Amino acid sequence: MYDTIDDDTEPDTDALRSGLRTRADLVTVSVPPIPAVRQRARQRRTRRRMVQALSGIAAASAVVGGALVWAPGRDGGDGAPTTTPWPTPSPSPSLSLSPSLATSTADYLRATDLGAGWTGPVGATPSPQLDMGGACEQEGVFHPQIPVAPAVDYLYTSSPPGKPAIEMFEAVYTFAPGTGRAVMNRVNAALGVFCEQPEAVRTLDTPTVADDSIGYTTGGNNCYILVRSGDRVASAVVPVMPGGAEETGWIDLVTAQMGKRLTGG
Amino acid sequence: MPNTQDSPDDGFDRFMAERWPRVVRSAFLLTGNQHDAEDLAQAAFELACAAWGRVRRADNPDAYLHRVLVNCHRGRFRKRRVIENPVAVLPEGLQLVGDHTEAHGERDALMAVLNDLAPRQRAVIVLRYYEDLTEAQTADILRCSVGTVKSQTAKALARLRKNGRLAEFAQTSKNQKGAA
Repeated sequence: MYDTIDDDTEPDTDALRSGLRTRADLVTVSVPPIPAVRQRARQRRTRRRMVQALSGIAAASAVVGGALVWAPGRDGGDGAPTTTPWPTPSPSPSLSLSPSLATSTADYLRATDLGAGWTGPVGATPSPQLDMGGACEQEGVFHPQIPVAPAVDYLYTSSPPGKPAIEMFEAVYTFAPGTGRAVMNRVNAALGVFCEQPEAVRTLDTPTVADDSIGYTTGGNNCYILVRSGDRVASAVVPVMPGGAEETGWIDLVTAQMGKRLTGG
Repeated sequence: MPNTQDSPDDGFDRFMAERWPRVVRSAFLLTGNQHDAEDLAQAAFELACAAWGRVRRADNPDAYLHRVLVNCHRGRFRKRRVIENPVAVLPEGLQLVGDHTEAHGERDALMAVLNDLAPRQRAVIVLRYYEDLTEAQTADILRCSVGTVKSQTAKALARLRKNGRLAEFAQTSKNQKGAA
């Protein structure tokens, strides 16, 4: 299965090694239950698809509902058209989305943090819980990590010429005092156990943040980066990573910048 | 090779059939219990099957399988672990069926050695000394640095040496070889 190596040849470890093999060989091994394993795996995939489908319907409903609420000239029920205007689009890719949000965006990435050609942040969508990706949240086992108040999710976009556009979302969550580490521990546990096994999980280096940070990708090449500083966790999500040789370097860059912004660096 | 009507020939059946015995044995060393070992092995293969497309394309499907196995053990089985309370006298109604002391003695000694270790140290010992993985491969599976593997291994061995379990176990193995 692997290349083997014997770099520890002390007598007691040799005894341990041979003993482990001898004892393990005493285990009675049954016939591999392949049909049962296949069936449960199939059920797991079906559950996942159903949840994804339901999530899509819920998201679409929310969009439609929002459009109906804001639609100009919509019948208000009494026959008279409403006067509610369309929301004013974000005027520019700057952080001055609204006075109330401007104070909270100091922790967020600037477009220039992401490299040339990026725009944002725009959007300002409420995010009531830490987004770990459908692959992790679908199981119904992992309890969603709820911040003390909904965070604001911002959209960043890059449209390199001749290539598909890349979108990234970032939200900075503030959890109850003293619970930041527990949140990350639960995320790590979920990644290892409850989620569909992520393709890649690695600890990321954030020079300005003493606390933990983690990056992982799930099916469909979703990429998640979580950076914690105390009880605040910045979460960046790239729904479709373009891949390629520069992917790792870009993730490292974004992680470092997230840490920098999170700590006011 | 087992291949039911609804199991396409995608290579998973062969993958599982070939690795099942080894994975069950590794799981036994991790859990110390054959029933849990089979459950753990099945859970690992179930996850591998659910993501078989990616597992098959992975550089090292065995590393993926080991990672799932260790992660499942660290999470699911830690929650389900039952604390045993040895009693001097069997409760009324329970009887020992035969005397398996000798047959189980060796296995109990092994489990006593491993039970002294924290779950992560136990995983390191199993991966390094049963699976014969390198420090780098072990680090890859446990998602930690090679330095962490080295320190965990050293701590595990020191713990075993300190309480004499390792020497006891080595002596037992030596005696057994001599008797054979």
